[in-house]
Amino acid sequence: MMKVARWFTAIAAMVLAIIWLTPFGIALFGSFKTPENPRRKSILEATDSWGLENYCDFWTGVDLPMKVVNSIAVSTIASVLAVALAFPIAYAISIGKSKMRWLVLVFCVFAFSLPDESMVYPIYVAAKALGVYGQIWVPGVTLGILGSAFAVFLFTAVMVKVPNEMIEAARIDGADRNQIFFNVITPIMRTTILAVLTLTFMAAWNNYIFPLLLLPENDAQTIPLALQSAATQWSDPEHGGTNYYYLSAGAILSAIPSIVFFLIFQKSLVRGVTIGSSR
Amino acid sequence: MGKPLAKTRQDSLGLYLWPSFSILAIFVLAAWLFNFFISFTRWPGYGPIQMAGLRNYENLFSNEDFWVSFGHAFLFVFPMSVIPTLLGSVIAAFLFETLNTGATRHFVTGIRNMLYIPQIVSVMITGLIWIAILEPEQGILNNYLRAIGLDGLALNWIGDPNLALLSLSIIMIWLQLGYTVLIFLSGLARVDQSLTDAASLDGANWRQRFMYVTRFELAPEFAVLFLTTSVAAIKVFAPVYFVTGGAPYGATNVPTTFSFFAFFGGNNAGFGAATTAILSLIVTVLAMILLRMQRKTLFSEMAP
Repeated sequence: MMKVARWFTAIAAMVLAIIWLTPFGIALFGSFKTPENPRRKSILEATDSWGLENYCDFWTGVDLPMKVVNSIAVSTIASVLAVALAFPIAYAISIGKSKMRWLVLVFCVFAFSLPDESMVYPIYVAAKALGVYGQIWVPGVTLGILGSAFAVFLFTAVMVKVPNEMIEAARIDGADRNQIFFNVITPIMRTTILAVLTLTFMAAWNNYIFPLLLLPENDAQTIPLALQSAATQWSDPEHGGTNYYYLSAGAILSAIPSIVFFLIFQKSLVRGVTIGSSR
Repeated sequence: MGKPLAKTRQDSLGLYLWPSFSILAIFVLAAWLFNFFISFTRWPGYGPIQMAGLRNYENLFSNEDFWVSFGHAFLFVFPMSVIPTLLGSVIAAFLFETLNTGATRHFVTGIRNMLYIPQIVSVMITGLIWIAILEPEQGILNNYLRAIGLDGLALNWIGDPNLALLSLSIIMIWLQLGYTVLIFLSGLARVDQSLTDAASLDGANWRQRFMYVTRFELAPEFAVLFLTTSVAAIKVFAPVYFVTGGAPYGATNVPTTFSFFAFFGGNNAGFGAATTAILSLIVTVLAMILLRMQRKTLFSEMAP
């Protein structure tokens, strides 16, 4: 009986997972097709011509290597800045006994709950007024500062569980608050720091609104934006529709970095995602 | 523990708090408050600013599209929050109970990761793939339907207002399920299995074990997921913006896209800012409820 249940669940789960990945499968399948008149067909249409043309076209057409560098730059600035800002705050409010700590935490929850769209227009206007509009570090720093609010929340959730005895012991050994910060708290928080880094890196990588509004130059675009420009450029309903073969190749190429990143940092990422909900 | 330990926590550690926190607080408050300021102006997004008092808000409240967009935001709580949370809890419990032992544990992790992929790829990318599937003329779905003679079912999945809402809902469930399954699986790893085992010995079937035991053990996860995903639903932007773009004629707009198009398409910055200002207030109220619930559990260690 148990065995039947196990097989049933396993098969049902496989079916579900396959359904979930079907959109990617369709895009992958279509991306290798190179039909004569691509603009009138759906990407599963039968064709004899196959090849890597779409990939080559997208790679050179949008200058993908440059977009990868841009995405890495924005996400690295954002994640490092978020952790650098948030870690000391979390230390102060979870180890220290400042009266402000509830206020700080409430503010952080407020800040990370705010829709990006309720802050993006002023940031857009300010970037223009300050003459930094279009510079690649601007969305990086913006996402870093905004991301630090959630990072404070995550760090605090873990740091409040550091036993008092540990800090007391360090104190008895003569450690001051800086030594406790660098030699006690930082080492034991290493896995959490990595988890928050991967989480904020990923969030910045997939963010669209700040790069969209702050990086107007084609050369400064991040990967998802490059795909979007290509989609706008290649969808032309009046001249016979969109080339979905080309765009599928673009979608697959654009998705690869995220998937590789997930597979490499799976443990850290899952840890980061579950911190907020675990007890 | 005892009194002497409290002494170690006397330090205010202000030097660690204030430099970082000032940057965060000033940045967020300046941007947010300036957005409020814009909402009281008549301004195309460039050039001179004219004060307009409450005019934008009056116009908003009498604008039917504004109410429709907020209606959609609340409607999307179902596909973004309620359905994935309920479905995710059942799927996670099923996987955990039957397969999360021994060698098949890796199988569960594999399934979890496959369901999670939509969460890690940008919605710009997955939205485009969904368009290739659902687009009425060239889309795969309609091509198949026509090929098997069901021309009548080859509908305008992203162009017809009601169907577009349905399509968006399906896409949202697809996006969110992996997240809820992941959270519930980690929650199940936390809870004590002895109660479930005892219920099992007493002859409780799977449904009974879920309804009377597992469901309660996962209460914290349910609470966190309902609230975080509801907040995400009310401020949703990406799936709507990339799949329908609010089309046709704003019939699938949510507050964020409504505001975005007012700001950039309609050259009406004040109007756009007023919409997100209202949205931010609603989200803030929800977030404070979240914090209130978290206070009892997550931050009990912090309570004075």
